[in-house]
Formats: sequence, structure tokens, C-alpha cells
Amino acid sequence: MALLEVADLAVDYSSARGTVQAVRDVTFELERDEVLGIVGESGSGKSTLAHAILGYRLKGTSRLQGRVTFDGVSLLDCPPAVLRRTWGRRMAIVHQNPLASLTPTMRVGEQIAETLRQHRGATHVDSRSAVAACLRSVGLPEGSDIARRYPHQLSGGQRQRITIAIALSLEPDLMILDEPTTNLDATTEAVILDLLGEIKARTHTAMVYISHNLGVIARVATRVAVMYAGEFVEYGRVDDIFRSPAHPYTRALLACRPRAGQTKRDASLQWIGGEIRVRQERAVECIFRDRCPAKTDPCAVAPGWSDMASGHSVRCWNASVSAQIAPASGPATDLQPTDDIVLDASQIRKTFGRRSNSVRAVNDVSMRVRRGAIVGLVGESGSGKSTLLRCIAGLEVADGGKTAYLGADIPASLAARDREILKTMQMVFQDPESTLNPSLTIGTTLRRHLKSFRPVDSSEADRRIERALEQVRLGPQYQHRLPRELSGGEKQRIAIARAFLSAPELVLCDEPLSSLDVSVQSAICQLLLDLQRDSHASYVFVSHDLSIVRYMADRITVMYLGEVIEEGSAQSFDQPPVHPYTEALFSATQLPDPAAKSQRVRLVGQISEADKYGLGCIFNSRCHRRKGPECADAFPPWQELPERRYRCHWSAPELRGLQEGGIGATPVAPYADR
Amino acid sequence: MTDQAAAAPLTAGVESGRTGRSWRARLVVPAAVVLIYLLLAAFGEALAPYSATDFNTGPPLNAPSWAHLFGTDGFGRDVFSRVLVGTRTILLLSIAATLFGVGVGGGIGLVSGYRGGMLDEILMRLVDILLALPGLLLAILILTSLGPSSLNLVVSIAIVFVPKSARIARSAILPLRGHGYVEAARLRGASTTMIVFRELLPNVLPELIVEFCLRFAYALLLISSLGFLGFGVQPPTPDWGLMISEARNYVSIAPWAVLFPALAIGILVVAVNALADALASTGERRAEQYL
Repeated sequence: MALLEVADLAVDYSSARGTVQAVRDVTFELERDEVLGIVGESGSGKSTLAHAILGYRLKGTSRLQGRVTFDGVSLLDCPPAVLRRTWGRRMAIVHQNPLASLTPTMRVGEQIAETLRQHRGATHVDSRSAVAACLRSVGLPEGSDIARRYPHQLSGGQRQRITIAIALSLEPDLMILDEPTTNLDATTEAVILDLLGEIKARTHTAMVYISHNLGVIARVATRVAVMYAGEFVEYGRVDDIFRSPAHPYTRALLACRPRAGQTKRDASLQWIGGEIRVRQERAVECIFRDRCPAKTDPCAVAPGWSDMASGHSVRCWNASVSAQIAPASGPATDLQPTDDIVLDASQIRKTFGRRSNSVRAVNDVSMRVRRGAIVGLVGESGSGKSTLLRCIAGLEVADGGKTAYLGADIPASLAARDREILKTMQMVFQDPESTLNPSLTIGTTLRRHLKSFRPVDSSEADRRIERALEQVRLGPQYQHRLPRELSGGEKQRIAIARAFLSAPELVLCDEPLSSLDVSVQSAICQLLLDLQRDSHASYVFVSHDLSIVRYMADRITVMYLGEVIEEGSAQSFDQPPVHPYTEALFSATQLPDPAAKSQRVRLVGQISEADKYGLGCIFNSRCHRRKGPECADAFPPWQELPERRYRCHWSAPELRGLQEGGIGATPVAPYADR
Repeated sequence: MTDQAAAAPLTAGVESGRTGRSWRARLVVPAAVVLIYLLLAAFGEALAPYSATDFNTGPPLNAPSWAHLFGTDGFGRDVFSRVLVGTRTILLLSIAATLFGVGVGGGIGLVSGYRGGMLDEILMRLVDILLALPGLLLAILILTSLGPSSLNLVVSIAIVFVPKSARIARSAILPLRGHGYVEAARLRGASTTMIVFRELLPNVLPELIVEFCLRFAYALLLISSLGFLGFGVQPPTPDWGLMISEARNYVSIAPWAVLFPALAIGILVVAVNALADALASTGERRAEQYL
């Protein structure tokens, strides 16, 4: 008998809009030592399922039906007291946001000890050594004072380690991980995934790993369930799912992400039109029908499970017919950057705070953008990439440096810039939820933007707004809608339409994709490329997602602790040597391919303010390729390559030797022994 | 998406009928009471059987009868007529004072919260100083230095309200300051006034309306208290607080002259408070629905 058996699980919510069927017909088994990866977009019911597996009713749950059998015990029929004893001791859950799952007013060591005392009745002295063991098991240094700190004194990665330590403290048989790395930087994510791999190899804990990120799932899972609108649509071993995906949804999801090395000049990305619809009643037709690129007549009736191979099944009528979605058509764009320089920012400097506790966010950064080019700006959170963008836009007043725009120096402060500059330099913001004024209709928002640059009569304004909506592929009826009636992707389209209303020369994109689903991300990418082809605008594109930056950008600038440590043409980043930090960033990218073996380069420690004020290289305290004492004592010079330059004490041939030889890096197989 | 949004009220009615009804009752009942008061303020004078200021409409300190529904006071004035006519005085004064106070305070709070920095520091410290003085004392202080008149009454109560409203408005606007639409407005060159009052104000209006209702209830109490203490509306204008004050000497032999104006104040204050409460929770329901 399997450790966990879930059969016909269904969860309903009652909300102000009526009953919502969040999860339906979910059936699977999980053995010890297995990792079930559940992948799906937002709104697919993943988190609801995670809690339902525990027999936990989230607020608003009106129905929890089906069978969940954990080690022979039916959880949904258990009295609450039995459930509580099972939770924690035998089943544990790790949530997405560790700051919300840890108590802010309690030392983290005490929070681990509390769990131990509650379930084990451990005494004070026992629990202290047990806490130390727990911290060790998640790779937190023992001698440090971490146990005595409060959650806000820890970094995001450390906090997530603590929640994992709490989950692990009672050696549970089953761990449920609900997007545990989604809020973390890629480099931290890679470290946490390594840690989970080690834990699994050591304890043989069964895991249910929930994520929207196919790359992460490919890395951790042994089995994969693809979830759509509350149902599993495909289920199988990780290799089957990623090698021979059968459901059109799975295929489309995989085609949404750029493959390794794919750029906008090679092929355009796929996207899935429409969005997940909230189900209020059982659908007669296939749940994916309205968005399916391969739909046929039989799809009007919901398909049952059909087997593709042993242990690989799919709910689609056309899976065996191999209904290929149209293979990626030609290049996504053919626009080549010209030699004309649109933006030339030099030595931009910005410090926040007053003398005693000031933070140098951007330090002597220079950046050049050619007409029609996309400059990708990458780095971990805290690297100053957003601040740089905001300094260029004028939202923050730079403390030093010069910005030349369209051939003329422009003032640092927004108030001092003239209207023409404001008109042609536009920005797209990160959070689609707050980018539009919630109390204004889309039409009003766009009209205000239009009228602030030039007086237009209302019929002309209406015409231009309709055209702008058409450019971002939305109908004229959107004018009369309020932002809350729109999905995240639609809001971001409106924000892009707003930026393009005034014929911009330069569009500053501050992580425009990071809160969107993958299927929407690729559509927005293509939209940005199409608009660029028509307008010849230039973009500065900030993102922490290296695959997307590699796909979109002509040039890439890598920032660390407010300084540029590497810059050059995008394609030159495929060839070593690259700066050790860039190497680590690339290595942390999770590719949606279970066989991908990356060179394991893991950064230890975290971004630390102190490094900025030392004499040496700002990266030296975390660098895995430290050369010698000069790294800490001397500021590294620029090392010039034909199309790129980086700041390091290693010269290009030396670093190339190290990186090609794989010295200093351990190869990492995806979760071993499966 | 839109279809669902449009269908939402229908299904909501079916699904959560019980909670929906009680929620509506919480809003409708106090609103109806306030509306009645407003109607009385408009037409009370016409309905009053006697002039509010005439002496000896009947024997003094007469108990309630058909001729004098609420009895008569020490000068033989008809209490019913005085309560009716007094509605207008107190409503006008407190609405004016609240509008003035919440308007100015809200404006200060919005600008201060949006601009931040030094301006915010200075304004908020001034607000703290005003907040440190008890409201009634501050009002008396201002009234005694300005001299009692209706205008000065309004001004003094408004001044009492400014700091509290400023605080509320500031805390409502703070979390919105860094939103994309605000920055987009800055990038298109919009002025601070434009951003605060045309972009941000609509989004904090629900909070300000609740604040208005709460302050309105306070204003009723303050005006009555000031009237009772003799700093407010001057005789012979019929004012509920003043009426209670004048009749308190005979409270043991003619309790009606105190009771009815007191009831008039009490019911209105409770209704306005309940309305503010219901509006606040309506706002929360809205917010939940849109999540």
C-alpha cells in the first residue's frame, strides 16, 4: 500500500460570487522516497490541493470530498484531535512566504523548539540540542546565533530554511512544499533545491512539491502532475512529461519558455490565449477546450484518462494523434539596433538614507542604449537594478552622474525635465495590480496620459485610445472597464498601451513579467517585440529571469551590489569566460529539462552591505573562484573581451581555463537515484 | 471575467442570502433614521405647532398632553416645537463643522502623506500638538478667545477635527504612494495637487466617508456639550444642549423638558455611529469581493 493515496478529491469554495469548484477528481498515489511535482498556473487550484491533502479546510471551504488515505488512515474522516497529532509529527507543510509562516515576535530557535515540545514533550535541555541538530540539517551554521534571531533579522533564504527545519524537526513521512522558492532569488532557490535533494536522499521523506515553475519541477520531481482548472490533465514520470508531453496544455507550457540558447532571432515563443476560468459547475466539455490550440469535435465531451505509456496518462482525446501545436514560426523580430545612441548614462550614483545608516544603492554605473536595442539588466534582488532604472526615469533623483538622452544632457530631477523628455521616455512597472488606478476606467487612465502631453479633442483621443488598445490586442470595449475586471496579463497590456500612447523612444521595463504566469509572459514578450519593430523604440529590460533576458536582450548588463560587474552583447554570454557571479546566476537557472546537468556553482552567504565599503572586489566574500589576497585588497580591473568586459582579477584566458575545466564547481545531477 | 463580475450580485444574493440581508439591514436602518432627522431639519419649522421661541404657549412645566406633546419648559415654551426646530440648528452646525474639519484635515493629511519628507515631519508634529489637547477644552479655549457665535462654533469644532482627520487621511494614502499608477502620473508630469486629488483621493474616499460619519457624531455631541456649558448656541435659539442645560434645574418636577432633547441627541448619535460602522464594513466587503 502506498504511503499516501488520494482518490476523487474535490474541494469547493463558497465566495461572494457563488460556489467555486477549486479541485475536482484528483487521484494519485505517493510512495516513500518519491517526489510528486504538481505544476500549474495561478488559479489552477494547487494550493487548495496542498491543504486538502492534509485534510485541512482553508477558510471558505464549503465541501471537502473524496478519500485521502495516509498510511492506512482516512484523513477526511479523522476527528480533529487525531488530525492535529498527525500534522507536524507525520505530515508537514512549507508555505510560499516564510515571513508570514514564522511568528515575528519569537526567536526562530524557540519556534523550532515549540514544535518539538508540542509533539515530543521534549524538555528544555533536550530541545536546545535538538534545535541545533535541526539547524544543522538545513545547512545553517551551528555556531552562529541564528537560533537567537527574530525572523526579520534573517534573509529570505535563511527564513525558508527555518520553516523547512520546523517541518523536518519531527522527521515527517510526508512533506508538502507549496511554492517554497517562488519568492527567493534564483541563486538562493538553487541552494534550497540542493538542500531538499540532500534531505530526501537522507530521510527518504515523500514530498509533494507544488510550483508554477517547470524548471524547478523538472529538477526536483520523480513524478509530475500537470494541473489545470482544478483537475489533473496529465500525470507521469518526470522524464515522460518533459520528453514526450502529451496534453496540449503541457506542450504549450513547455513551449512558452525559451529553450536553452534560444533568442528572439531564432524563434518566437508560444503562448496560450485566454485564461483559466473559474468553474461553478461541472463542465460537460473538456476543461481546456476554450484555450486549446488542438481542439476537435470530440472535445465537447470531457475526456477520460488514457494511457500513453506505463504510468503516463493524459486526459485528452487527441493526445495519441499527436496533435502538434503549430511549431514555432520564424524569428520573433528582425529589428537590428542602429548605431544611434538613445541613452548614455554615465557614473550614476544614488545613496539612500542619511549619513549614519546610508545605503549605496547604485554606485558609478554607466549604461548606453542604442536605438532599437534591448538592454537586459540582471542581478539578484538588492543589486540596484530597479534603482538605476528609476534614476534614469527621474523617479529618484540621482546623487551624481550624467544622463544624456537623445544627444542632450537631461536634468536628474523629474520636475526639471521638459515635457518632450517625459513624453518619449516611458516606463512599465512590475506589479500589474497597482499599475492602473483602481478607481478609474481604462479609458480615463489612457485619456489622462494622452492629454498630459498634447491637447487633443475628444474624438481624436477616442480614436488614438482605440488604436492603442488594438496595438496591445485588446478590443475597444476595454475602455469602459475598471482594472479589477481585468486579468494580470490584460492590466500589463494596458500599461504597455499607456507607455506607447506617446510614441516613446525609450521604454524602461521594470520586471514587467515577474508577476505573470508563464503562458502570459511569452505573449507579453512577443507584444513588446512587435511594438518595438513598429516603433523602433529602445528598451531597458530589468528581470531576474536570465532565460527571458537572454531571449529578449541584445546586450546584457549584470549588476551586483549597485555596481556593474559585467556587460556585453547578449550572445557573447554563451561563451566562457564569464564573471564568476554571472556564472553562478546562469548555473542557478532551472531549465525545464530533467536531464540537464548543470555545473553546480553555488553562492555561499548573501548580498552584504559591508562588501561595498571594502577595498577589494565587491563580490569577493561570496566568490567561488577567489584568486588570492588581491581579491580582498584591490579593486579588480575591467577584463576586455571582443564583445564583452567583466570586472575581475582573473584575466580572460585564466578564467576560461577554470570554467571550461569545471574547476571549483561540482557537477550536479538532478535529484539522484530515481 | 466580465460576465462573472456582472453575474456576481445575483449569485451572491442566493448563496449568502442570510448574511446579505443582515448586512443590508445594518446599513438601511441607521440611514433611514438619519434621513428622518434630515427631513425634520428641512421641514421641522413648518410642522411645529408653536413658535419655538414664544413664551407661555401653555402653563410652564406642563406635563406632556395632546396640546403639548413633549410638555412645556420653565418659560411655558413648547418642548416639542423646540426639539423640532432645534434639529436644523444642530444638523447645520455639525455638518458644516465636520465638512470643514474633515476637508481641511483630510487635505493636509493627503498632501503630507504623499509628499513625505520634511513637510510631513513638520505637519505631523503640529498635528501631534493639537492632538494632545482634549477636544472639548480646545473648543472652549477657541470659543472663549473668538467669542460665541455660530460661525466661531463651526470654526472651533473644525479645528478640533483637523488633526484626527489628517492622521486618518495620511495613513490611508501612505500605502498607495509607491503604486505604479502614481509613478506613472509623476512620469507624465502631473502636479502634486493633481496626483493627490485626482489620482489618489478617489481611492481613499471610502475611508474619508467613514471618517466623516464618525466625526459628524462627535460634532453633534460637542455642539450639545458646548451648548450645555453655555459656550455654544446662544439663547433663545432652540438648541438641544442648551435646552437640557436650562431645564436641568427642574429635572425632578419636569423631567420631560430634559428627556426629549436628550433622546433626540442620543438617537441621532447612535444612528450616525451605526451608519459609519455599516459603511466601514461595506468597504471591507467590497475589498474582499475584488480580491
